[in-house]
Amino acid sequence: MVNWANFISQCFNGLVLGALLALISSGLTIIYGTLGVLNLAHGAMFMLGGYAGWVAYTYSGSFLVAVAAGSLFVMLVGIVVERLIIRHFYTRPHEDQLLVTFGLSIVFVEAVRFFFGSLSKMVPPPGPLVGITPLGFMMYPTYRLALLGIVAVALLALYFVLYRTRIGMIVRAGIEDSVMVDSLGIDVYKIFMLVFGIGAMAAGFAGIVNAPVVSIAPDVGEAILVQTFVVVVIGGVGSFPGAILGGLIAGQIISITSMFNPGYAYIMLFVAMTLVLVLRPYGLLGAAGRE
Amino acid sequence: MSMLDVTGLNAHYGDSHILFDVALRVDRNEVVALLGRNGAGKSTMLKSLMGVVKPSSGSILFDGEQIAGRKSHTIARAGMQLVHEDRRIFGSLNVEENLVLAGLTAKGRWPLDRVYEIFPRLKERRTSRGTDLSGGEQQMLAIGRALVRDPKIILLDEPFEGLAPVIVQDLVRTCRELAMAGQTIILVEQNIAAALTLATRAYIINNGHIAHEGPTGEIRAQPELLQRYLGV
Amino acid sequence: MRSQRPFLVETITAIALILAPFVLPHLGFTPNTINRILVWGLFGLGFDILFGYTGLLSFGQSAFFGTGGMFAAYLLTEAGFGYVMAAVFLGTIVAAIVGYLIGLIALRRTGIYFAMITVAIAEVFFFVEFNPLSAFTGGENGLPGVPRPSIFLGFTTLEFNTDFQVYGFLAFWYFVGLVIALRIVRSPVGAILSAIRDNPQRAAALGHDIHSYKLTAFVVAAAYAGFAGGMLGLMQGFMPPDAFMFETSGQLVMQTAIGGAGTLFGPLVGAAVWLYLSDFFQNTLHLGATWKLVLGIVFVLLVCFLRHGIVGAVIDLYRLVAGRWAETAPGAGVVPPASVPATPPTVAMMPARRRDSDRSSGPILQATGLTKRYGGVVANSDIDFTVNHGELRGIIGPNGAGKSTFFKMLTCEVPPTSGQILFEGKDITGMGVADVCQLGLTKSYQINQLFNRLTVRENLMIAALAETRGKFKLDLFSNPRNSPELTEQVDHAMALVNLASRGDAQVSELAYGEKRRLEIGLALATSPSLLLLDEPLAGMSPAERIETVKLLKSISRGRTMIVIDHDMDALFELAERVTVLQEGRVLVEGTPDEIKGNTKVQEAYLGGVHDVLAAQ
Repeated sequence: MVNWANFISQCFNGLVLGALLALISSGLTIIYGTLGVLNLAHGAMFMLGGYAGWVAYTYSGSFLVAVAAGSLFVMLVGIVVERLIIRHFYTRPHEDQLLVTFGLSIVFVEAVRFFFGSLSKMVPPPGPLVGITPLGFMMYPTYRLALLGIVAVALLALYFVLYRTRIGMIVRAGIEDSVMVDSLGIDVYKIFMLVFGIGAMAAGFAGIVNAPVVSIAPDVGEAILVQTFVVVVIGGVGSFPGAILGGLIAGQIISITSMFNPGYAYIMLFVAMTLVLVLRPYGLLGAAGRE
Repeated sequence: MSMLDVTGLNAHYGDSHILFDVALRVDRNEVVALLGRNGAGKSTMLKSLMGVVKPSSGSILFDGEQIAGRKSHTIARAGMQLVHEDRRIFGSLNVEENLVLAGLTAKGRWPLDRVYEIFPRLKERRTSRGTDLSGGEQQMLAIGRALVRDPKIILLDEPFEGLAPVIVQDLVRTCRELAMAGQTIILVEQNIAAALTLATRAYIINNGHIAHEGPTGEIRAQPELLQRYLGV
Repeated sequence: MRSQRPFLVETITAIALILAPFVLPHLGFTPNTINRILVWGLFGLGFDILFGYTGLLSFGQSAFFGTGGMFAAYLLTEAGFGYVMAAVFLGTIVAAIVGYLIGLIALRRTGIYFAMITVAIAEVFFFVEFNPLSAFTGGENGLPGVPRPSIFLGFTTLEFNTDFQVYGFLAFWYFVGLVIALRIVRSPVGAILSAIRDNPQRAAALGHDIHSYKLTAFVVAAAYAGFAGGMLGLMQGFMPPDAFMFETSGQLVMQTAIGGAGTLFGPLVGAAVWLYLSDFFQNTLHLGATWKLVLGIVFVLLVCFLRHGIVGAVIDLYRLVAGRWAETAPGAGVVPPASVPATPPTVAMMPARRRDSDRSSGPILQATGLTKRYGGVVANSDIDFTVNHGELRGIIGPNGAGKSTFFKMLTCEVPPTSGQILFEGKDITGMGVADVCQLGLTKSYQINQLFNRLTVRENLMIAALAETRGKFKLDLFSNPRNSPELTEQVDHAMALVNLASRGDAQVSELAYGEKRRLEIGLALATSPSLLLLDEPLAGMSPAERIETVKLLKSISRGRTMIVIDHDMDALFELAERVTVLQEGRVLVEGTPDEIKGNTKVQEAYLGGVHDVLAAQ
């Protein structure tokens, strides 16, 4: 039953899924790290990216345009939501922040359902990436292979922005001590807005590049949100490297378990999360003190 | 015109009233010390000036501009810098990044070399992360981070606390050189001797009120004043 | 709601439940909707205890709703079990057990971690129901054929067939559920849960085992969810798999927030609004699936602007109107005195608790070689410190001397890096803060740590309960107001800190000085044999300081106290002996006069002066 080609192909699937989860989770985790807000609408942002990309694709027929439109639209949504709503919740209790972002996720999902219906939509992969590539020991869908590259590039880009640019420097400083950043003449609220935009964009980008693999529907974000939470709990909240490590681990757990029985994938994820909570309560790469 | 002219300043921390109708004046190129026991309200005073604590009432004229109630970053851009008591170095950034970050929005930003000239030790540790610095190095970086913005006034909150005597001597010397070069400074310090030698004028704060104000020479000549407000 | 008439809420609810099926249909509620409201209301009673009273926002309640419902439905259908209510109760018990096990994991963390873990739990249960357990749960088909509710009374069986009869059945169980929930929130456990919501650290510091209480709330919520799940199956004649869906948890959260958390009735009102609007939008306005979008927007606006939900807003409005009425009514307005009488009324001193190990002389506290390092920073090093029974010790030291860290080690808030602490001869090093408080050692805080949404009386009761009940006790159904002993203790503490006239005021209404006294009162109400006071005079005006020093003097009779403060005059007036800390070490110890005359102390305060001067 379990042959090696199948196993390796599943590991590859796990790697692709893991990279995708890593990207989405890093968006969630930098938002939480900087703003202190856990965004329950993050899964909905993933879904919005897919739909915005799909609309752009329908009009332009270009996958590249779709990717650009999906990411930028979600970034814009993030910025607007931060300005209009989230900003007023920084000083309110965590519970209120959870409630309002949860409400926003419902609004986004239902708005999409209102405009586009409940049926799933498909964005085909760009022409050159259609088909199957022989890898010697196995055949593998070309786009999935490319997706691994695309997401890796996106993660590198995010890494570059965070660790090699001035904006990233401010964001990292802001994660540590936003009051001090403000004292150095930098308007933290502008940074908060930007971080929310970038974090949302990471989810939106993931949403559109994943659309050729898994078709999009209004509720695709929910499962993603749950998986993202597990990733963040495993990796440690507020840690970019933690999000990547957690994403890769979760990706492998899901796909290897699915090889035997997809129904147990979530149980294994949950077992892994429980183990981490018991052995390292702040996550594999998390620091103590953040609640 | 004074560099800083504070009148009727009140500040609360939560609902606890910390500063009561404080008035304070600092002239250009002047070094002024704030003395008082801990809990007297010295740190709150500096934080209110910087906008980290929002004053509940009162006027703060900074170089002719009203800054009471403004946000910290606006006050910072107007040319004020607070070196926090706990230094607040960004631990995940290295020394150079800390300095670059500080200079980003400053009008007359110093070249980093000028900071390194004052604190050669920082140049040696340029690529070390903030968390890896010793207490003395952190303090140098905290002061350097303020200087790089070429501020009109620096507020120093307990810069010598918890440091070894040799390092304190070094820092005192540096501060004196800055003062001689015309830097306006407000200094809060428990090391009263150091404060009195650096400053030309001092305010004594007691339970949130200004209890005394005068040239440091005069204060030094009245040990009973120190004894009453600062001693045991 | 906590009036002199003891069963007012219950009576009003009973009347409302009887009237509802006759009134609500005229407002456009269908009988089926009314029944569903009751099921959600039941579900919400437990959730409100968890969220509204304990402050734990769980997005995973569907797991227990589904588990209880499925278990009962399986018994009644596949297993051929004949006793309807017995099946529902068994489902409730299973849900509670599952809740206990899940709670052990989820409550390892608080705040957003707790929220994330519960979301994951909900999803896991959904998949388990759908896949591995589909043989028992019917997978995506659910379990059809659940019998209509009936109650076997021994001699006869009551059957409930029509919607109206089912309403009677559900209303009865809702009422039972409400009465139990009311008992719980009015019990000592309920009081402690509210304290945990407001300030978990302080609740623990007053001697309560907060983890066990949180777990209790979690299990209670799971049991209610399981029971409501069972009711859902009976009501519909079918146990739907979507009971397990994350959406179910979400809907419960939203209904509770709309209705108002922390009121018990919030979830019921929220469910009524939610289900009514969803019917209205779909059936009257023919909006189709858009109703959820509209409700989502309504919900977001509500969270933004109406922070306490509908029931909360009604209560606020009632208070406003009642307050205005009281003001305008001649002579009826009870205006709190602007300034509190200068001296506390003479009250008998509050005795320290008598404990087995109590001795009246010799050392009560001995610390040896106490050292605390944070990373590379040494906060305290090698401190030896002994305090005798009945002593009033002062601790002073310049900034950064490590006084607060020292206190935190003594009360076991932080463990020392090395060294040992003996309290009444017992080694308490490494014990929990709640255990130490139970032994009779507690602290009042430099920054007020109060339970802000509770009244002065309730605050003090939380502290007194720790003494009378111990660390953890499951007296879910007792009424602390019926205990004259407890009332006396609370009154006593209230009089002692001069707050007797403010007993029913919420903490948020108090002036700063009053809060400061309550802070001391909290520590005092645990009847400690050793009381630590961390800067009791912080932030006080000169007049308040004089009052507080008097207060501290009166408290100190018959108990041992250690006081940190910066106000030297006050401290020297109070303390018999003073320990001076500097740079994390004991510099000197002696009587106030000795300290005043000590050159080393002067040096420490007037600052390492000579070295620096000499170096120039």
